Amino acid sequence: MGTKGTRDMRSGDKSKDSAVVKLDMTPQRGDIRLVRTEQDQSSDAEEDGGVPPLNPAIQGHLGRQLRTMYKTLVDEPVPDRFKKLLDELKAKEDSKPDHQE
Amino acid sequence: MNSTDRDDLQAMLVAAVPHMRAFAISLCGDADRADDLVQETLEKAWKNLDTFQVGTNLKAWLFTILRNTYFSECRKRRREVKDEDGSYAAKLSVHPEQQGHMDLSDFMAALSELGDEQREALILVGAEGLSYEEVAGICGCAVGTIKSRINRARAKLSRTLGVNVADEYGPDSQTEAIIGTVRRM
Repeated sequence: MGTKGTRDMRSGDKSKDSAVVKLDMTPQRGDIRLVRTEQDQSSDAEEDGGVPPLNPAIQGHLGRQLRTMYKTLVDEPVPDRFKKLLDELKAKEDSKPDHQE
Repeated sequence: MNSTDRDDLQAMLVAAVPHMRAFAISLCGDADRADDLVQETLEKAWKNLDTFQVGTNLKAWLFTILRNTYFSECRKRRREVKDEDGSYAAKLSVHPEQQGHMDLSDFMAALSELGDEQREALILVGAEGLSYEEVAGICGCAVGTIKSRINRARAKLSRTLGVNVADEYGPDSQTEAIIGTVRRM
């Protein structure tokens, strides 16, 4: 419902569709880009992904938001389980008789 | 590899844990599952530390192990449970108290709507600051594929957040309608 109208208005869709057709028509053996198992293969073959580049200001804005979000995750305190895990791994290794120097 | 190298690497492993956690949470959207992924990655990395080539990027090596572990788990889960789609967004409410800003949680929700492959490429280049070449190595695909995924990820993000359409054409009624439709999707 309603998706058809939206689709027609978006200019990016046309180039995306043509990228799909191009991919389908050239299934040459040995083209490594065709050997993919995951989803979203449609327009990987084109570096721009079949979409027009964003305005640099918007791209910068998105980049800053992405880094801010990511930094809050990096800055979270590391749970004790990892310190414990690494200590255990280290202890196990040190107690091995064949531990190389 | 001598023992000094090994000690150095182990110290670097410890230092990389916060980044591994951030990447894992961004990837799967679930803090508990992310920690399990990090633990598995650390165990594998420790066991295979001798195969790591000293002088290359340790973080990239760890991210490779982590994302391969994640994707093979996803494939396994997809075989077992059909309904994997959409669960990311539902689980993503794990860290609301840490967001603080409204626009950040909007951003995380928008990020969750991207496909796994687009999201990982965007995070590794845009947030971790790795090169396209490094990310292509991590994801096991061509550099052009990474560029394409990132471009589509950015385009989709900006559509979801409604930033590009309004900026480029002005908020007339037609574009408003598009933004509205996109937001409801």
